Amino acid sequence: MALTGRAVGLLALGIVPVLLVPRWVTVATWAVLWAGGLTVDAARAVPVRAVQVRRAPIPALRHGQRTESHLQVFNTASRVLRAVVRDAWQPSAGTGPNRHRLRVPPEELRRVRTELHPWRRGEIHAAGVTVRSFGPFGLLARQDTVEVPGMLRVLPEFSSRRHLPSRLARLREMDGRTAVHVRGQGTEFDSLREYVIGDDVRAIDWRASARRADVVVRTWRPERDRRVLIVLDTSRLAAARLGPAPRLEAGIEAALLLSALATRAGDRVDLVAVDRTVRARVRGVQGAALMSTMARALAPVEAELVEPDWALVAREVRERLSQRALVVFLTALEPGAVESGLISVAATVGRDHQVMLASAEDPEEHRMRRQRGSTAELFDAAAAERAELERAALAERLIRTGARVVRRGPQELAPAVADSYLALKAAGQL
Amino acid sequence: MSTTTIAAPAVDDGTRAGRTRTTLLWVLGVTAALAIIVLLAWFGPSAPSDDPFAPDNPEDRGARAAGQILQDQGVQVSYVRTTSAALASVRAEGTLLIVNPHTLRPEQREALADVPGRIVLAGVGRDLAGLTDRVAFEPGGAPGPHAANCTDPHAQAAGEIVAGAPQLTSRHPEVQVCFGDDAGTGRYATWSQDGTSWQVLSTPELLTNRTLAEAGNAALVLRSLGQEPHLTWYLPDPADDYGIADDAVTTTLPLLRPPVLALLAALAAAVMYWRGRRLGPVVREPLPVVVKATETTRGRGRLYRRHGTHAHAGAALRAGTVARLAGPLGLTRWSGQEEVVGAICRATGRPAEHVESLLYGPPPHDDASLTALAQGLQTMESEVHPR
Repeated sequence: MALTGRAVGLLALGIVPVLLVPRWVTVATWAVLWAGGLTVDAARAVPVRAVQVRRAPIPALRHGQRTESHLQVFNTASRVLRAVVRDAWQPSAGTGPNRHRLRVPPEELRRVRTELHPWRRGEIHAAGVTVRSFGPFGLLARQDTVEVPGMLRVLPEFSSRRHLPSRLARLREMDGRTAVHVRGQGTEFDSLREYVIGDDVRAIDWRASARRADVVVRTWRPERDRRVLIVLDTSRLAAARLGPAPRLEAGIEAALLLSALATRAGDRVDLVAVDRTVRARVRGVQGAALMSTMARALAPVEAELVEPDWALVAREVRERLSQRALVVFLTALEPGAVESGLISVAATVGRDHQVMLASAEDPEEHRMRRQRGSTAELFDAAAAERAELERAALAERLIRTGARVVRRGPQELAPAVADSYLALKAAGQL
Repeated sequence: MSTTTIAAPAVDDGTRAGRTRTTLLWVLGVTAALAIIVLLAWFGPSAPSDDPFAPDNPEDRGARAAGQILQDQGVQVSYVRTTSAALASVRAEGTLLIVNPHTLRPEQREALADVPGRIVLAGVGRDLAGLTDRVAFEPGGAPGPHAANCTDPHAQAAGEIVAGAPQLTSRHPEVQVCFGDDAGTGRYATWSQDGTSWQVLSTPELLTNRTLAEAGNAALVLRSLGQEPHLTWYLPDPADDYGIADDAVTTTLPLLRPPVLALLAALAAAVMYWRGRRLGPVVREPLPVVVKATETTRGRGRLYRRHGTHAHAGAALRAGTVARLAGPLGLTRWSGQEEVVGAICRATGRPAEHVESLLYGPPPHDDASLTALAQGLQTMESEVHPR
């Protein structure tokens, strides 16, 4: 039940007779009339259980985009439904005006549209639809909330895709350069073709030329069908906020850019998001389907306040990979956490595979190192210098195991990882 | 309005004419209801009041029995609530009954003291100043029954009465006190003063429907009140503004009447329910955990500061400077002290002892030396790669 302002106003009008004749009988008569009017009104209101609400499914969208939630309100009663319908969502759905005044004649259907502008990645759920059904006089309303399940999947923003065209251009450049007969690591035999003037004489395949009348050269192309495994750390280190967003977001951006690049380069990309357990897994998807699968898998992933289980990561890597591959750890170089086993795992994995470790660093800490105004700031700067030295030492230890270490701010991490991948590919170290 | 019609077109009572008609019906209906209530309340049969000692209250604490008997006996009873009404109602061949005169203000009591005819006071309090000074309040007293113990004809006729506390006591030799236990105190007093006959009942309980039938209460009350053909029954209203000619008080006083207050309270409750009722439950947001990344570093800085580890902080600053300069100066992690000092001397042109004391000198031991060291390091760094 819910009162309306009209009912309150009606009660307030009773002050006129009560002031004119200030006696109990006046108050009682007015109260009885008022309550009677309300009862009659509520009895004529369409009961909420006679209202059927259905929800149209909402397609997944990228973080930052807008969408709409559509409800169908069907009145099964034989009276006209006058109602306010509230389409409630989690606050992070960023709903626009979500209270809709409706007038639905008997046995008819109305559609209600609520704007959504989610401000968070992940799976966002609808909370229920509240129907407040007014009587014909608009004095009293029946109210109830019906569960109408609904889910909005907000995919990662992938703002780093603006770096993709330039990296793809570099990839094509590499392709073109190596297509001219540079033989060596990182290339594989492509085909034989006739010699044209300008070709490197060292590329002539004498044996093939002898079989034919023409001079034939061999051509080479970059290696293809290499394997890339992205290990995304979702442990407590990923929960650290760097600027506006947590470290996990930088990791997701890097994973998406690297996947987009590597799949265009003809490599096969797998992903595993892991802390104590495996949170998300993408495996064996190739081509155009990869990016959407990846975004879907990463959408609900959130950082957990637990220590990462690096032994589990090592097991995962062993199970997934049989041939030599590039294993990219998207984690953080933090002295305490890395002692817990990252170095030994990186060394173990590094024996069979190429390891790259990417860490999004805190730009705030770099500022702290420079701020030396007060004594307190001096001590903070000293602590930041010490942390930086420890991280540099760790990076050094990792590099000595054969790993590549990428340390950048959260915005620059994704392109840096992509560049590092291209460099490895160019050097034929995949 | 973000609604879309899917099926039938709008029904015609949603049109402008229909809406105007609906509004008109509303206005007419509400006005009619208001008018009916006002008319009924004004002219309709008056409902019994529930004020104690009122001559139209049939309850235990009312006094309708006494009022009706007097009317049956041909006494015209005027029930008044204000001093001005009482003054307008009294006449020479009439009786004025004042219930609980001590609740009146001094101005009201003075105005009532000079009325012609008989005066009957029902109830005495500590303060009767202005009205009379011949009787006074006396606390305590058993319910009785009490015998008359005096020569007054009304008291004699009553014989015995039942009345509890309080009692009254005489302050003047002419006053005759009856129904007392010992000399001076009693429950009924009478005297004559300047041609006006005064009678005082110690408590207005004697008038009530509950006690009127007990012992000789009825005889005493009816004889006291029924001497003249007209009776003004004055039950003071606390909201009476007699003698207070203040407009502000006059205008606000009606609001203080209990029925008005009750309606206002109901209105307040209705407003609270109206505004307080939510359209559906509050929705919970399962927020992910986010920790500020610099917290650990800042915590470490606080730890250094709290324990005053100036040497440790100085060493960190020196090491940081060397690490930053290593790249531009072509030094490696394994470069020794002489190599570092030499490279910096070449880059900045500073004397070797100066650079050496800055980088490898004694550790700072207080805030001042730490600040000096930090400044020195910063200056040297800016000389190596000028911005």
